[in-house]
Amino acid sequence: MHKSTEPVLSGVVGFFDDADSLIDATVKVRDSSFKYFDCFTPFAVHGLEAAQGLKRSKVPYVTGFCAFSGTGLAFWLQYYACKTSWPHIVGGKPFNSLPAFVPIMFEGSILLGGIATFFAMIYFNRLPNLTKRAFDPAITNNRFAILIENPITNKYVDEHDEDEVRANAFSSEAAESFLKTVGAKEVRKVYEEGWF
Amino acid sequence: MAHAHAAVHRIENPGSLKSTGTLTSVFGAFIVIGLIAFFATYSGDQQRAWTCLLRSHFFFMGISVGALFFVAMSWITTSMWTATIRRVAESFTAYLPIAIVSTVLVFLGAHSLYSWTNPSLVHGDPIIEGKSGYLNLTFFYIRAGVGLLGWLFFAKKLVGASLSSDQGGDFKKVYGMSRKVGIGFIAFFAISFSAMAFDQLMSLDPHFFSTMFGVYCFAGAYQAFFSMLAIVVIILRRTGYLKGIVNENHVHDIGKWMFAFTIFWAYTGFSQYMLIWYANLPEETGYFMLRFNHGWENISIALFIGRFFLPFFLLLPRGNKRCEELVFLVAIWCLFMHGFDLNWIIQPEFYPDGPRVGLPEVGVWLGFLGAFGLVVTRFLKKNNVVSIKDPMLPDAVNYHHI
Repeated sequence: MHKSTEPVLSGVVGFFDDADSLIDATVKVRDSSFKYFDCFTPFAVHGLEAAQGLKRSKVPYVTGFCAFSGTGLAFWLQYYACKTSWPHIVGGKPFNSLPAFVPIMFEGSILLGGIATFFAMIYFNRLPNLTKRAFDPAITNNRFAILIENPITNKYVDEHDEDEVRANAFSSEAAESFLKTVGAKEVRKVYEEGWF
Repeated sequence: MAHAHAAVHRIENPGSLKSTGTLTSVFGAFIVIGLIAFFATYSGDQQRAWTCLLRSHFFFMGISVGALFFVAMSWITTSMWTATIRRVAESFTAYLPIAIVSTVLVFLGAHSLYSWTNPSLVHGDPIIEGKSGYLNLTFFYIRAGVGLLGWLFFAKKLVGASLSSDQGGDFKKVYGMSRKVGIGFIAFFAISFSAMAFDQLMSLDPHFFSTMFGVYCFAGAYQAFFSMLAIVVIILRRTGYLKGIVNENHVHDIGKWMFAFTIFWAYTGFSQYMLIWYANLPEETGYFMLRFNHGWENISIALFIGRFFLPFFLLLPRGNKRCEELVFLVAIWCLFMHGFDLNWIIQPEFYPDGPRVGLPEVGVWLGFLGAFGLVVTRFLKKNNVVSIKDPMLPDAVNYHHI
């Protein structure tokens, strides 16, 4: 943590009035040398994730893996209970009756897949987030914003990698003028106070 | 990805199909093949000719009425993405008049197909005697007639309104009317399609009954409809008609529907099977005993793997549903499996000693395909291939999946 009395600059934010100009600007920021940036919109904007250059979420793979594990586990549970541990004749059916197991196997897939999706979503979204606050209430109302982050304050930047930090040396003036050239209506600095 | 945000603001009207000469002659040839196959089979083995006819009749009737269901659904749910492909679905409903003709043909074969039409078999059989209030030829004709004429009426209303908007009709009125008519159609469809499935397929074994049967047939037919839609839309896109209107997002959505109804088909099929397996009632298990013996057991396993497992895993990854070529191939496979499924429903009742697959089955189906293709190309030649005045069209063209 930075313990100076000077507030630490965590980034520069540029505001836009509509989704189309935000997407156009986001493409330019993505293709620029600013590596750490994020977009804030009051609603889901179609095509924004492509403009940001975001990769596909890994959540579906977790869901798929856990759902198929659930199928297998539910089969094993019933096979163990009905055939190995406590074999009973029910309705004249064989101990290992696949048709009777299928609904539970289906439910097992849904249960494990659903729970795994929830926790994977929490994990990949870097939640719970107890420190970051909204830097401007307008981004939940009517304005669109791009935040170019100062790599120093981004906890996902490896601080031990000196080369990485030097290569991304942050200049708030450069970021401000760049945001203006891509069409931001208002540009201002964001400090750790009020944001972290 | 870099072009993902490039929005299209002006949509060129692709117009209607231009040269259809080759298509018309190919489909015409198919009809001739179908007629030859039917009459050649009929002269040797009447029953086999009628089973081939029944299967192909139900195959294409299900697809065209499934298309009407899709059109009604897209009005009711105000879905935006369907604006680009709704007209193609509407073109399938042009087959409904031919479905009436093929139903009359099934009536002609009723005595060969349905054992409950034979009074000497009904008499003394308490189960069939008990059902005779429902399973008699007069009521059978009435149900089929009411169902088909009703579908034709709803198709005229829904498709006619959509077509009138191309000529400059007020879209607000079209929308309000289609919504109301669509809701009416869904209610009518639920009852009439179940009745069709019960009458024409389930009553092949008059002892058997299953309340899931109508839903099972609907699930299969609706999946087959989406497969047919995918094929026609992709062909129209490749030939340039829907270029710039349908993109990989729409192919993705059709793929999702195919995937969803692959699962729904397996769900209804399994629910029907599991309850009968559990309850173990003789008049119900007979249906599955026929299909689990004498070579039919392999067909049953192949049906489950081919109609559920393969499309399920092929359509599961996101990238596959966005790949036009793969969706096209899976759609052809699903249509094949729909015919396979109908064969599995119909043939064991007549040939419990094993499946019959040969030139009659393929030939008669080709004949029906020819008729279907002819009316669909004729519809798309007369009308625009896209509902160009639909106010949701620009949004539908530009939409993205998150």
